[in-house]
Amino acid sequence: MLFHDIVLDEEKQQVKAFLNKFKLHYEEDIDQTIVIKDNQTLIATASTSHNIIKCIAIEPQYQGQNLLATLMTEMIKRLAKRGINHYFVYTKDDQAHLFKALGLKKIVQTIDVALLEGGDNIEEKLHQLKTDYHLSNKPKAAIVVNANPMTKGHYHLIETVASKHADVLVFVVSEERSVFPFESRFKIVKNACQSLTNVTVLPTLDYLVSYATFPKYFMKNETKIREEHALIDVLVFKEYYMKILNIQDRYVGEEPLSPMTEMYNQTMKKYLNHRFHIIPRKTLDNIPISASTVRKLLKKNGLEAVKPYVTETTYQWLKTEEGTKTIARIKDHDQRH
Amino acid sequence: MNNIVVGSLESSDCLMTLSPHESRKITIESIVYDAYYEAIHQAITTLLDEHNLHQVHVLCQDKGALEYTIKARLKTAILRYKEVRS
Repeated sequence: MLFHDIVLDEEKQQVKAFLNKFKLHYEEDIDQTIVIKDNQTLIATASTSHNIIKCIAIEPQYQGQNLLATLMTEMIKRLAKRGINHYFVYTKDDQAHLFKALGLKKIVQTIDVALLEGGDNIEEKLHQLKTDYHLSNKPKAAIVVNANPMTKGHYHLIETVASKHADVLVFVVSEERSVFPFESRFKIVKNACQSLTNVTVLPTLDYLVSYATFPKYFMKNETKIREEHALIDVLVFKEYYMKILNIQDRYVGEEPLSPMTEMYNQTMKKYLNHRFHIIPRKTLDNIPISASTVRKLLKKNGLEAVKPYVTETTYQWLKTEEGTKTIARIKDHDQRH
Repeated sequence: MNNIVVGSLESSDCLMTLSPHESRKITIESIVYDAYYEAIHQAITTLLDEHNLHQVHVLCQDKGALEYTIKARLKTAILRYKEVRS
């Protein structure tokens, strides 16, 4: 089977038109696209965005020849060459069986979307995490932070929870979609929490993902997409993280600034009920401290301006060579994260 | 090091993925798991022993491959794995 790589804009237009027939949209975060042709006619396509295989479509009259297996095999091999051995597919629930037949496993599903994974297994990964970080079976409380970068607000949240619970897990989002690289975000949080002996800092793994990676192409409107994303995330957390790691309580910081995160918190409240708690955000001169404010200040006024807002560990890191580079990157870019 | 991936997910074939692991680990996903898990496991173990490979994770995603197909796919994977690691 001959695969064609889609590189030129002109070719992309063809793929876009092809996908449109299936009411799918070619997403902006796609990093590679392949197509299969019969003579000159495009008959099947698939794309990837980092570890997500997406925008898969096969011309109806060519369906039933198992072209899906051909596309998936090619994509899995291409991802392996990039060092990615754990991949995800989001699909409509009525199509999930097609991917299951290829060995992918369903993680969670909502009425509209099913999330499947291949090459690895969430239960195994979480049990491994439990062993690696020597976690006990005792009940725990959990916080998930991106910490892009860590602020005094994050520290306040962690400290508050640590004063209420005997065992606290702080997850730092592993996904690399932030200006501050994961390794640094993780190290900063870990160092900041050193004096809190009942706190364990650990990575979220590939499962709790940001909105940016969530596929939007088979859903209609923005609000619906946001809701689905929040729901998938909450279900993954509830079904796997809470069960396997014995997490009894989930804490988040109050979100007075971002309506999107506020909506996310509402969804979480709906599914976790009394196990879900919101901690009021720490303020400085009556202004809530947030990582986005810190990034804005860094962009506008530089390092010294953020000192009152960030933890000492963040401040020290910002002064390192890597920190200086990151500040330069923030100044260069206009991106949100 | 990147993983070695050999074979396909087509019917009557299997996709064999080899990656470094501290001990030998064999994961089998098969549409004929109940009937042939033991046989597939045995075939993989034997071949790994023959090639003296112990610190590896073998992921076999089987779509109903015959035994010699499985062996052929694994052998190719092992040889390639050894090649890139030497």
